[in-house]
Amino acid sequence: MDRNVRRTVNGFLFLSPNITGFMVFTAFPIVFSLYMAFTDWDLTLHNMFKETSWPRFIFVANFIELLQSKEFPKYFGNTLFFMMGLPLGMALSLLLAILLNQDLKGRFTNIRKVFFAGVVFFASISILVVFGMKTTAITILLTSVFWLVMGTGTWVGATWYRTVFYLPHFTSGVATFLLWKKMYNPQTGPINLALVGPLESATTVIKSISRSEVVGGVATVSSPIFTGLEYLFLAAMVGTFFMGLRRTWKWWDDGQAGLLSAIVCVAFLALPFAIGSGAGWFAHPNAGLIAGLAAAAVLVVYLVLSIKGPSFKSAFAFNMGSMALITLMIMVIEFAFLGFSIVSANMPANAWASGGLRPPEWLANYYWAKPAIMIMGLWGAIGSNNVILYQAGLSVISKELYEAADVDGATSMQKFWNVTWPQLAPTTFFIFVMGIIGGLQGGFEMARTMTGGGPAGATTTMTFFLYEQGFDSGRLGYASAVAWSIFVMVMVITLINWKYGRKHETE
Amino acid sequence: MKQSEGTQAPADAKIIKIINPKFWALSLAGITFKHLALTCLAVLVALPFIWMVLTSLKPLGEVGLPEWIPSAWQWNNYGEVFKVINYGQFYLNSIFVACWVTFLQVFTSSLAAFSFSRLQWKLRDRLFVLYLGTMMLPGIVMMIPNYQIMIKLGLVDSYLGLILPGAFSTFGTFLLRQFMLSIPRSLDEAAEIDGCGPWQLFWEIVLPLARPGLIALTIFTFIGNYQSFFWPLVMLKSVDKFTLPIGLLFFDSTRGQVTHLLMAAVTMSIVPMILIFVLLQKYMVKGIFLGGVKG
Repeated sequence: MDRNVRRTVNGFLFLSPNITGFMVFTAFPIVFSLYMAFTDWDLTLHNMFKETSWPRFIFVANFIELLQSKEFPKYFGNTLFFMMGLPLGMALSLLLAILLNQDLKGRFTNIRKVFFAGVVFFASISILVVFGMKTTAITILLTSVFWLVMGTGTWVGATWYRTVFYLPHFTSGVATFLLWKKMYNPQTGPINLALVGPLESATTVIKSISRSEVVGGVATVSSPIFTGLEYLFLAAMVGTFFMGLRRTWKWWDDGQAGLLSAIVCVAFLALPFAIGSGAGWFAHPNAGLIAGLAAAAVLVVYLVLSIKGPSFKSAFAFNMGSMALITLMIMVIEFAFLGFSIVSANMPANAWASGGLRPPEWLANYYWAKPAIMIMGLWGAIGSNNVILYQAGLSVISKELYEAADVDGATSMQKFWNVTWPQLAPTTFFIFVMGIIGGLQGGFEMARTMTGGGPAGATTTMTFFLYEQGFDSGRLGYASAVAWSIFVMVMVITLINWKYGRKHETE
Repeated sequence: MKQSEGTQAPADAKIIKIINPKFWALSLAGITFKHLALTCLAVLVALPFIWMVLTSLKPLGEVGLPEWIPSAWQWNNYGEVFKVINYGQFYLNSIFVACWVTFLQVFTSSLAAFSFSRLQWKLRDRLFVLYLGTMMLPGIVMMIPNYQIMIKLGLVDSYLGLILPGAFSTFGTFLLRQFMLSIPRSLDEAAEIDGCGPWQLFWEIVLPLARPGLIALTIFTFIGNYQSFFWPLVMLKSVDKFTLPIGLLFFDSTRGQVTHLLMAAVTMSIVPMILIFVLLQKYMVKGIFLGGVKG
């Protein structure tokens, strides 16, 4: 008894500094925040200094206002849009991890120095040849950087490359956002300065293969080649849809995916068509109609095929995470083809416009701001913790599995899809869930430093909206309601993780 | 990082293959290709940094030119930053605040982690579940009430207001607890038989053995605080108290036209992070596995 009391006292003594802070700065604020979400707390009126009036308890009015506002769904959409870069970043991280986990030394440990010198020599010569005769200062500089990276890489191995790839993620913050803001500058940024030349030559080429006529006072540009390209990309989009559907169907038929998983997959695959036609993105309405009909026809064929049910039945929501992730990736590819099709439809008209093709205005343009942010995000995401987690995941895959696949005569693609990918499923799922949770809360720093949430709210995420409402407008009660809404979304994702994440680990 | 190298090499040494010149040529070509691919990607990733450093050395007139290399290397751009803006003060503020937060957080977290992992007492596990539960909450939920608390305490626009909320961390406690759990229990029993009190056990046995975990948490906390943006942005009002991220934002919004100086400032703010990472990355990897978070 005495001993027990002493133990509890000791335990509390060690905990006391931490738990004091925990109570004051974590536990109490959580409860208080919930209370604030139900009041009309305003920074200018009720800030405890001038207690002119106490905040009123207004029940769920904040939440109702949030649900009814036209802005919040838009900002939620923006947040989701930014998260579309997540599967692509993960794919790149996985590719990088596979490359880094390869044998980068071979059996040349004895003659490593000779090998090292040879590689570096080869690299510098090849770079000089590639850049041609005009040996400007920048060519020499880039060559030496290349030389340095590769030389150190052959000497040190995978750790060196991983360090270089990790740096953008590690340093990401206000500093790198300001760097990218300057790089995206439409007039003086290096990206647009590099694009001006190629775009000028592209303008002359496009003008030479298209016609501009004035019909009834309106200038119309016609170009069979680009119309053909537009339809070609649409066909590629439908083809990608078909591929994704075939894969989903096969999973479902093989019992690798449950009914709900398959439905989720199909929904993801069909999303680009729905969004594209809903938002009027298709350059020619006819083109959108054709693409939509083709996709619907493909879908109907598979629905008919699936009437008899799968050959091997599996649980309702079996394997949802892994399947959804692959179809999400295919969805991003579909969106990319849709984008290419729109670009090729508009290209000739832009080329004939005064000034020809111009580089995009990036952060200053409503349509380019989001892709610009996503490119930057990808730069930061390639070499993040994901690579380290994937490397660890790869290194514990049993070699016997690969040997067995070798015996069966599997190609490296087959080995990837049938050994590596399923074995990495828990890692992938963990990274994906963490990415979604981070993405739901993200985008504030970027919006505050680079765009101010603009143009016209194109880059405002939920967190930036919260900041604007809470600390710019001072509506702390409303901002708390936003914070709790974000929390509910995070909670849902966490619960899904608990329900399905465990299942992956035990498989 | 031995685990990451050569893990895919065939397990058995095939001697017949080694004496075959064709195998050597193929292997050499494969390895060269891998290095080339990795290097191309790495240089692509490094390009923004290269542009940043080159621009920071340009005269102002050359900033918007397609040529990346400055005609004259202006090293005094870096000195100029300190004259144009109170940059030295920002630097000191950042390091001062980050050092205090790191010290206090590692101190309080290691004590709590010791209590949660090595001592047996009532309510321990229930309290720990409470800690874990709050870790799932987004940080922004706590920001708004914390701001009210700071107003009440009169700590808005003060260093103490920046340091205090960061000094206690559920994540740090969690990370160190996970680490301390991996230290064998038999040590505790042996120490107890020798007449060791809990403080001695903590200070002389557990803490030295948990050093890699402490270093990982130190790096995470320092870097996280060095880059922290939301809280200082909300809290700080006077320019002489600005930390680096807020100072850089202030620099950009007040004198954003001097791109070469801004890039010099950005470079100087990134350099400490790169140094920390390159020197200490082997400690961070372990922490990433235990905590699964951004470094």
